[in-house]
Amino acid sequence: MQPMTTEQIRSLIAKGKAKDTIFQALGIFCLGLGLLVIFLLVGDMLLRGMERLNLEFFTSFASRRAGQAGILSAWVGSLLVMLVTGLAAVPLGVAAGVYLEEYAKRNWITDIIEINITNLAAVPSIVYGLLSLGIFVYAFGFGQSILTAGLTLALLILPIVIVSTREAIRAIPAMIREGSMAVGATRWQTCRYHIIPYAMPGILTGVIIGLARAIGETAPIITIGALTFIAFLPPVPFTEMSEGVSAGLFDWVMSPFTVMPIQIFNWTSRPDPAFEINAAAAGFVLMVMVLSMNAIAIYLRYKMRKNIKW
Amino acid sequence: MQIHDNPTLKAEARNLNFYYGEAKALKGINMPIYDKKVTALIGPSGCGKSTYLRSFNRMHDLYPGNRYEGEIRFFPDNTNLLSPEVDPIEVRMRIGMVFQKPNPFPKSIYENVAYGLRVRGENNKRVLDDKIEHALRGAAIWDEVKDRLQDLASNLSGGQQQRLCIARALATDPELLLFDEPTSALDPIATGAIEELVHEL
Amino acid sequence: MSSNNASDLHQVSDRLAKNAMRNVTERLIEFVLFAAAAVSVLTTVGIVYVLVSESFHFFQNVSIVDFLTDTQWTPLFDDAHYGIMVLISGTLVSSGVALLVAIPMGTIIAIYLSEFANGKVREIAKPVLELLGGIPTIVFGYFALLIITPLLQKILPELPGFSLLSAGLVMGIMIVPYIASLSEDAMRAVPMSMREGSYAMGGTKLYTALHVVVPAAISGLAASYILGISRAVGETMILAVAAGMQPNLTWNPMEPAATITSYIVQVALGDLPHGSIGYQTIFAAGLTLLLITLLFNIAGQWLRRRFREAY
Repeated sequence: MQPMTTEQIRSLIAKGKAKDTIFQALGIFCLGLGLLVIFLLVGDMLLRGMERLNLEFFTSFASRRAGQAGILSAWVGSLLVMLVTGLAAVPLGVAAGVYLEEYAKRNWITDIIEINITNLAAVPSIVYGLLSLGIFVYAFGFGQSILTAGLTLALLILPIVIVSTREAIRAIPAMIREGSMAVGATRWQTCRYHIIPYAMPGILTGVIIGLARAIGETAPIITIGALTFIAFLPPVPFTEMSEGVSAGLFDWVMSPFTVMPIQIFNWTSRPDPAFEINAAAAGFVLMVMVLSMNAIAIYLRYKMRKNIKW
Repeated sequence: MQIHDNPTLKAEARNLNFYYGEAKALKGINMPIYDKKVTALIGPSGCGKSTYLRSFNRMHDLYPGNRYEGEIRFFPDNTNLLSPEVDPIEVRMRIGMVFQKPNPFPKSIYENVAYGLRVRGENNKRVLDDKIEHALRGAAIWDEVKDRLQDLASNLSGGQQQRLCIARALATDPELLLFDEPTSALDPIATGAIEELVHEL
Repeated sequence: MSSNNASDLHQVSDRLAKNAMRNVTERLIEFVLFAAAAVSVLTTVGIVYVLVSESFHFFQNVSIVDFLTDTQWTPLFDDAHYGIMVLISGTLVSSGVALLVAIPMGTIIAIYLSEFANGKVREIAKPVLELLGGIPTIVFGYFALLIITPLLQKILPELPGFSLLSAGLVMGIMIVPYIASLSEDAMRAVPMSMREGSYAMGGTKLYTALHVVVPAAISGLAASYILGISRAVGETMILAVAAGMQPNLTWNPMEPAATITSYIVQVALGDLPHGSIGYQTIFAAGLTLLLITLLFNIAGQWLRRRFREAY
């Protein structure tokens, strides 16, 4: 090889830089495509569903007539299912995270638990639906209730809550732990008064992301056999259900229900295009719920990184 | 190392200042570097040896917020290496560098040494084979690796890796070769071998 | 804690007693926390138990050979056929389309963010990707059916209203954020000294990215692809909405077809009695799905190890 002349080197570099520029454009294009999809989705649903987005839409039950149908039972159902999911997943996930970070000894049991959590995150969500159909619906006899749906989604988001709890705990420096132990606190007191409170913002972020995922999940809830047409609300505690019988505090958890994604699915699968408008409007509402939850989580994490300096 | 009575100037720093953001790291350096000579920089850690050295091949351009002032003239063509009109990639093609810690690429021994040649668009197997053998011999590692050229470079010992990095830098016949304390991460025996090598070069 | 008189001694023994009590509480709490951690293992055990036991009943009625070789899937007809290949073909074709979109796009975005973009772009792009990844799949289904399919029909007039192609394309978009963000993490973990080595040889950004950073991060990239495959194979609602749900043994993405997941949804929407063979089919289908996911994961692990050695 002859030593290259300056011109040769320069043309080589120019070529290399041109490739750099082309790739950079490609990268921006791909990213832009992602952004475009979000805008297209939200924009299309907003424009298409605009005419239905009024108060009536939120206060009406599903109906066979597209123009009168609303999402009352769906959003109430979503809210109640999320309540059960949160009440189950948060204590379980935080406890599991605390155990793995603060208590677990390095042994095969811990290894199995850790491998398990990683693998569960890759299990398709519909499989959780099958699990819950076999266990909660039939073996435990919970039926197609808010309780079943809430527990199913709780299992589904458990790995998210556990992982974020562990990450938040790991970010706490050892000196905090030592400081607490040094004044005579037990391990649990250290966890309760120091570790968990300090890890709270991180845990909260994980919980919100988990719930945002859960609120949009459709497949597992359809799989447990949730009904798609519900024109009533779960019983409010202590109100009269039928003559002389008033609802107990927890009767609502056993009630049949529907949720937002199922309502959307139901409307998209109808041949009458009038329901597409309803699907668009409901989809827009769901997107606003999910995107704002995610945005809150992203903001929280951003704040946390800025504020916390050990 | 030969002693020239009248050594030719290869590069010269003139009033060189360098800033990491607001922090001034190099202050008013004037220093000639001669052709075919070993110029050694000595000083306590943190005094700016690496910073100075890395100015020569514009490594600081990789990070935002860094700023040069003054010039480094490079001969025989008398270009200012630090001028914004001069392409850092062109500078780096002319000036080789061996780093503090060995940093072989996650590739075979052969491909590591071939890297700079391939960057220059050389893909002819015969030319590559030739140049690679020459460079590995130059770095005094040929005998150790000639039978395992396709092995991963990361399987070599630290001292061997560093000599491989020297071979990698030699393969493209750079006009100037920068060594940034190449032995600081190595044991005394490997250090001795590399010091001897630099001497021979 | 020195004590000089009897009452002090008494106090000390009291405290010891309290400590014993404290130990019991501590133990109890540790056990409760352990139980919480064990729930994840129970979940796995439950999944395997439910799928295997229901499938066991199913295979008492249907031979495994028929299940694997029959070319029809009509479990709810009088003339019932149980050829799972029909559903597998739909799953693989739609996943294939999705990965053809997601792997190149995700990798390009990851390389761009990790090697080209400055901190500001990254700080904006990462949350955008996260938001994209957080969009509910039912909404993506709507997107595929009502936006992408009509758009594609303008280019491909013969495309039917339901197709694996449009569902697969949208699935690909859905998976991009997962691949991009995991791959980017892997590439950012590559030490700067390796990049400096390449730049010092006169490498350009792209050359350095493709010849040094990507090979160094290959096992992380592979992990992100495996996750992408798992997502694609297990995706349900996009297919249920936009790919049609009729069983169709095909390798042509332009056709409508059912997948393993959309079949499960279809059956769940109906009203099959608990314990009937139709009810059991969804568990056999679910088991197949889980095994395919597992297979891809094992293959991925194996490939990862091979790749590492080749370099």
